Amino acid sequence: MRVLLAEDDYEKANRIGEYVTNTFPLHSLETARSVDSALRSLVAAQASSPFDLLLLDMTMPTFDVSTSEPGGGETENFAGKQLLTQMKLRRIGVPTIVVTMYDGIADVSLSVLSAELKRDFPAVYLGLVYYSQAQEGWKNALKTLMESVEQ
Amino acid sequence: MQQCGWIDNEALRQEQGHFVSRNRKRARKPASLTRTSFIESVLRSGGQSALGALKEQWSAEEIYRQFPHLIPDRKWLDQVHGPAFPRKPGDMFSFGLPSSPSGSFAAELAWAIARCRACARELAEFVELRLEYERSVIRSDWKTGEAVLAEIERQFGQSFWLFQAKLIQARTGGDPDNAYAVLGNQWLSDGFASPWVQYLVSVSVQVDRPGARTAVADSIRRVLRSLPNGNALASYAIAKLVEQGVPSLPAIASTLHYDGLLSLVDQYEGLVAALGWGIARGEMEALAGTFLRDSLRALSRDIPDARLRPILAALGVDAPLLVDTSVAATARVQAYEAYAKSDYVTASKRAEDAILDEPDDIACLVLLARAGIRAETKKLLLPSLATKIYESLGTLSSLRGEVYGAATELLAIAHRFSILRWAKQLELLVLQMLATEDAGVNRPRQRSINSLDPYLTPLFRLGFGAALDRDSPLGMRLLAEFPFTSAAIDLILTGACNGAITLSTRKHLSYMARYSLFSGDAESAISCLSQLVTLPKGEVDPRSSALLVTAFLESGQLDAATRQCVDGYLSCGELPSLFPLVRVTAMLDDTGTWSDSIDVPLMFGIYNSLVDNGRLPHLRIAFERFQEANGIADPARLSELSPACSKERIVAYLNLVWTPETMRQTLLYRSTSEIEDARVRVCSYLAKIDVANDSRYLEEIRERVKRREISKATSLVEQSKVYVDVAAIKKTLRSKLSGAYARYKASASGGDLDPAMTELLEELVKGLAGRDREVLVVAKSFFDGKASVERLKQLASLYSDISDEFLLGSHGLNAYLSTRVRHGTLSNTLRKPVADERLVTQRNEDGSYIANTFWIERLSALSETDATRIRNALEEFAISYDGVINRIKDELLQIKVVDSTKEMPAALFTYHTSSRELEAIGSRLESIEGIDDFIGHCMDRLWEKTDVNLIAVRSVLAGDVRAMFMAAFQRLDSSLAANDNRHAVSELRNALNRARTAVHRRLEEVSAWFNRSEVYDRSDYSPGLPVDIAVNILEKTLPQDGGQPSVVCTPTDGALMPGRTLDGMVDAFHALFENAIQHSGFTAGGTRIGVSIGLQNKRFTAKVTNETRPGKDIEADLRKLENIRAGLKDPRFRKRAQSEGGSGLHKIWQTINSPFYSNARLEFGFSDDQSFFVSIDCVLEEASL
Repeated sequence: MRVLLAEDDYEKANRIGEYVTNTFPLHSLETARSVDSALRSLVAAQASSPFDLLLLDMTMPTFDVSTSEPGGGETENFAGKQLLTQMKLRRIGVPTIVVTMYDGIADVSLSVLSAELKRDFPAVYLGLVYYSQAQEGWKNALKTLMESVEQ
Repeated sequence: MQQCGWIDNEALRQEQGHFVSRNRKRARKPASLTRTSFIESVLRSGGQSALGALKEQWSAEEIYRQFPHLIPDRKWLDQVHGPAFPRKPGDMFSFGLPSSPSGSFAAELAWAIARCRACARELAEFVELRLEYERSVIRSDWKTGEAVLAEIERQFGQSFWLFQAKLIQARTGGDPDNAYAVLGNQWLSDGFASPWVQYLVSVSVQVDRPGARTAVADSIRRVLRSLPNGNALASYAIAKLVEQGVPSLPAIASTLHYDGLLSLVDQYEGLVAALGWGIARGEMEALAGTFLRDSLRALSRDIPDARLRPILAALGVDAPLLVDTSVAATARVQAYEAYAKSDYVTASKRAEDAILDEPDDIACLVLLARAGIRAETKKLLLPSLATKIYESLGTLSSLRGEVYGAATELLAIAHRFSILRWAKQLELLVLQMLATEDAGVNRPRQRSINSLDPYLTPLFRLGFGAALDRDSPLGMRLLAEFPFTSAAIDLILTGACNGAITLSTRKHLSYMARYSLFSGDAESAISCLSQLVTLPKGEVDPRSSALLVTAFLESGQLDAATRQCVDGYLSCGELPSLFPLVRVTAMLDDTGTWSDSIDVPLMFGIYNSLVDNGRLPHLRIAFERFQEANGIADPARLSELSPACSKERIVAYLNLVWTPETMRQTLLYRSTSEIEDARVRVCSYLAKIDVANDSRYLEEIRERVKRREISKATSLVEQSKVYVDVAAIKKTLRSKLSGAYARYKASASGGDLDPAMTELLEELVKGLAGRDREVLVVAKSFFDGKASVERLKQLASLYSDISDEFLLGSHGLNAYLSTRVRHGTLSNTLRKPVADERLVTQRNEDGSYIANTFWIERLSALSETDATRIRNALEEFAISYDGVINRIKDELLQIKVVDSTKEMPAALFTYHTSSRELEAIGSRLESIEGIDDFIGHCMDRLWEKTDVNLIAVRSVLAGDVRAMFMAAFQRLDSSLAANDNRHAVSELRNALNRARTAVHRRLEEVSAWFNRSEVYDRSDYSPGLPVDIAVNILEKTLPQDGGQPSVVCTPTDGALMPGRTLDGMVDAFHALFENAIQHSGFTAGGTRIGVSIGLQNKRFTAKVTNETRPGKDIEADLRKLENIRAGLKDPRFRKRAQSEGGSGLHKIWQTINSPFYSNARLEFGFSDDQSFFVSIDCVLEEASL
């Protein structure tokens, strides 16, 4: 199974990546650090070997952070949602799990956000995992959702 | 105090008693509350709870009919409500904060009608005076207004309505703020005023501030939420004071309930408003069949208030009040009829006549404005405020010119006078004129307008057509008086009209189109509207154009709707809100429905610029598709797509679609710089094809290019933090070491011994043999070795001097690390993510942290124990976080020369030179010609060591330092996770997570600083550039909450500064700006800095001034400055310049004392006006050129 992790936070990406590769050793994992990278990866893969799963962060910069893009361009609060909309419009139907470490984004609670995603992207949205650096609960939640994709 | 009209109420009692006897069988006997028990309860408990129980247990009908029996005497009402006509504010809400909930809408209505009827005589007088006041305002006759209000106060005492009316009067003076304060104080100084009344008074004053309504509504909800019955109180306060939207039925009920506790005047005003809301919402129909019709007929007879007319008409109640006998009635009829006949000159004249008599007839004023445009009326005799309204209505109706400006002005007037009926109607009319044309007739909107209009015309049928029976007396009267207007309304509502009446073709087509759309016949609507929109440009009514879009949508012609919508926007763009943008873009949600036309991206571009960014992904993909489908890489290519892409469409496309916001998140661009380049090309092309606006595009290009240059230069400067000024060091060393170097060189080239001694020894060796010869050879070797050690010592000394200068000299590594990294920049860069999220605060002078009030205030829902724990956790986090920063700058980013006496165990810049290394340098010396090469060679070696150190720095930052920061976050996170009330701290956790992600990025940014910078050549630059770069650096590093300083720079024209001086100048200005922020006494956002720069004949001057906070004690500053001044003269100032904290001026002095400048002067101090200034004056040297 090909998994794309769209995540700009260094530590979170490392921990999720580590957990996914340890728990699902047969999966191949690629990481995109921005909306731009994720979009390009998804579009490129669509033509040959589409991803089977997208693990998506909600808040990301537009471009990968680099010396020439110190802040990664504009950071959009709902960049993940924008990416999902782009996928829908481009007819890229990769099942998606949103992994966020925020209790809410720009005054929108996670339950409201999840309900919106379910409403707007019923074909691909699998669920939302609340990631916490201080707790381990996210691992089981992520595992359950990932196993549902396998099945 | 006025006596309530109790005698009149005898009739009321009889009438209602009759009603009781007629309905005795239907009336439900109250189970638990009887008249006796109600009266007893009033006597015992003051009436509030009894009234609450009554409203809960009795039907509205029972309340209304029992009222005269329940209330045998006026004093009973006072027991329930407080005095009907309070003499002072303290008499209102005299029972304290109302905690009892209101009854149902019907129950409150019944009680209010009955109570007002009971005091009808006074209220009838009040209504007359009130109308006079309304008219005096629109006539701008403030004197009369003042007198009328005084009379109202004399007769009816205090009321909240009166307070609000006085606010209106206060606004007319020259100093409204003061007038508010005086008025507010009058009310608030009444020591007995209820806190609730005081609250209403204070909110009323706030609401008046421009744009304050939404914020005030939020504040009301927040403040009242925690009170008992807080939601109802909030609904009431918002409905009464903020008037946003139509309130819900419970909110209307609350309004009636609470208004009744203020005063009778307020109760009556609340009642009229509630009736209006009720009929506008269509909520009265269910009640109308029972007591309401009769009670309203009676009410209108007792209190002939014209505002009751639309209510009576909407409920089909015939009453004498419906007959308009006013002097203006005839003129009004003639105006409407002339307008329907398209006789706009007559319509204009007669409407003016009507308004002169009854200036509160806002609908007639709208008609006058519309007729005036067509009749080209120039001069009117209207009073000033009415004229202002007329003119703005004219602009808004014409849909030409400053349409939104006119609408804004009208809405401002409406809000300013919002307690007046005509102002409320004006607001709704303006909103209707701005509203989207998405149906032929918008009944709910029309009902709201009609419900406020006491001057009944056939227009009433647009909202209440079904309720108004044409055979009723009112229906027949309107038809007889307004035959042409009625025919027009018939056409809109039924598609047919009196055959004897002919309307103009334009009117006929327009009204028929509305009817067709309203009745679902989109094709007929398209047929009518297509004829209207083919009129010559300028004559096309934008409303017809907008209706045509709706008609296309209704008939399923999406491409045509999109094209028409874009056409409409391009030809009538002054009021784009008329067009159903939301609906069209919603229909374009599926990319499968998109055509290849430019109209698709344009449609999304228009939506994005006017509505919201909810369709931004659609816009981006539509843009990408259109560009790719048409092979557009350059804007000029668009012109080849003519005629499908007209010039207007291309200009709109370039302005609304091909923008940086759209270009992001497409597959067409890979970086911000590519996007910026593309936008500059777009603007260049726009300047060519849209010549009328070329200055705007050229300005955008200038701004973007400048920003790009600043950003590029900032990036270059930021990459030069690990820097050594080789030229300056060589200059210093050349003069310092030339003698020593010559001696060393001479000794090395001449052998180990004195030449004469060498010659002598060699001669001796030649002449000897055997043992003597061996002894002599050994002796020569001894002398050679001794000389070699001496040479090595000489070399070590030379290298040490070079190393010292390279590492610790004025222009060496440590100096630049201090200025560019350790002195503020590093701290600010790493602190910004946590400061922006308010996780850390600034420190006091004693090193303790300023209390973190931001989060403490937001954690008010926590228990004291939890709040204390989090407060401590935040402080501990701040200490840990700053501790890591201090460790980086004080211990890690330091230079350690092994074997030196200075203890720097953790320093990452370590330098050690072995004997072997020195020998290797010595062996290279033979091939080195002069001292410059020698110094260069040594410095190369030092750079190589530095490179190794830089790898270590990056590694430590990515490893240990990152781990230390993350450990601090982890501890805070764990403290938050341990909190029982997770919801209360969720906002704080989000802030923590945002900061943590940002810190990772910042660490990567900081890590990138630690690369060797040997870029000595930069382009020559304008003297203002370092100021811009310094400001840019501040923007990137200062915490958001403090704001950014205002820096105004007046640079010199023409001459350029040599590129090699750029970094130093940036250092200098950055240090000056940081000093200004730190010492001005203002926050960063409050600091104002002025910079003037001069460059003439190689002489560079700069003066930086900043204001200081008034009252700031500058005595201590003056003493510090005197010390600094003395310190700069001390040769040891260089050492001071390499330390951090209070060394800004030392660093600047060091910068302008580099070999790039001569004759440097630095002056600083306070001007007479207490502004602080720093003057720099120096001459550019050849070395810099």
